[in-house]
Amino acid sequence: MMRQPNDFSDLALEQYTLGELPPEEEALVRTELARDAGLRDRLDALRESDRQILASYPVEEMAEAIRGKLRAESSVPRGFPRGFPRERTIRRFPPLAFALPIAATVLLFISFLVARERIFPSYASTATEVTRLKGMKTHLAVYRKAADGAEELGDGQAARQKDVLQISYTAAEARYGVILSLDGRGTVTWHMPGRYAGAALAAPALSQQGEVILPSAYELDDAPGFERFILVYSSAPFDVRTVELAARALASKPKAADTGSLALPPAMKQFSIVLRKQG
Amino acid sequence: MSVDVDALYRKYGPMVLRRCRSLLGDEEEALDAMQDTFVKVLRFRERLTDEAPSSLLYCMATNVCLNKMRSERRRPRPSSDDVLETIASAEDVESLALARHAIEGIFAGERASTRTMAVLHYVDGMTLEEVARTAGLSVSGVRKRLRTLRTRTRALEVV
Repeated sequence: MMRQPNDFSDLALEQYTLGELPPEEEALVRTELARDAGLRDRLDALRESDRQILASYPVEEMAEAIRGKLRAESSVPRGFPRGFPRERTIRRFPPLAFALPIAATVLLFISFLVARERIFPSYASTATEVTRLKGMKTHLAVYRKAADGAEELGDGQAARQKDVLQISYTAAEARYGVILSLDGRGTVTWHMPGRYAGAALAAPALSQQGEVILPSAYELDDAPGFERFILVYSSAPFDVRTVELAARALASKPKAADTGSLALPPAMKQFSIVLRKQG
Repeated sequence: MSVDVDALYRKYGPMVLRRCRSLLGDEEEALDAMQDTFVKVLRFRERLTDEAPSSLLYCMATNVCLNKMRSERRRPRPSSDDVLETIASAEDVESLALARHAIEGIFAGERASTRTMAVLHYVDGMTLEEVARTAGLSVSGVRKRLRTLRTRTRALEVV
């Protein structure tokens, strides 16, 4: 196919500047550059853009941000971790056990809200306000595997031993966060980071891509009373150990552990859902 | 394959960010998508070869942006009218979980999703030959995949 002058795609020019264009294409670009001022302008603009981007977003800063996100993803184990302490109250399952039902539930729920607001606009400022705010604010959600999919469990809802649960979070304005749970036996279980063992550790960076489903599902054990899931988040980095100490302090108070707040610095916010154990 | 994050960003960061800017039209979103693109590359770094990865990164960035548009119901840049939005919302019957795994398909031999190829062709104006080379498929393979997408997505039939 004959190329028209200045008809190279953006990717072709990117690859030309990177030296990754196939030899025959590279020769074509080189030939066109010699006679096409417009193409030379595009190339100059690309190189100037390179310079500006690296000046605005320095290598060290961006590389650290990328490594931070990577660490956050890696800190959540996939599947049942080896050597997981016996004292943990919750057993982990592979994520796909009901990731699809949850996704379907979320999509259906969103579709329902959108449709309802289109049909009944007044709902937007009245009846659905709480639900809509939930979609916009930092929060976690707990789903239970059901025979025909997954159901979202609200705060205070009943749960039973052997219920299989999946946790998700929505970061919204939060940048860093951790998720843990307390149960009626005073046990603290870490869900994100999943292998946390009490040492100083930077809190994972939260993904900003809407609702994020943790990669493992969990089966409730026979701990009595309640299972309470807590998301601690902040716009600034914090040490996971700060939350660990506060969680252990709260877990040691059986009368307060299901409703009390973690004693944390003001910049660290918390959101929790408690499930009441039955049976 | 061992990957030097600093070197990877220094060489390919500007290209990836420009790609994300062009699709999302929002600096903060684009920056986030750029970082996510590198995270995905690094997550599968053991499967990376030492061949020039610009095509891979370009496709991944496109895929990340499409997922972002779809999951956050973002509108693409105004100049791309409805085509990009249509592509982003195509295959909406797939679950979020499946969408997340689409990126893994790139490493499993399926170099680019059909939606990514559609953006390269319909939005970027690449020829089928260019799309095929970028996506690591044959021209007939690309043509077939785009035809399948068109049948699912009426709006693309008139493009």
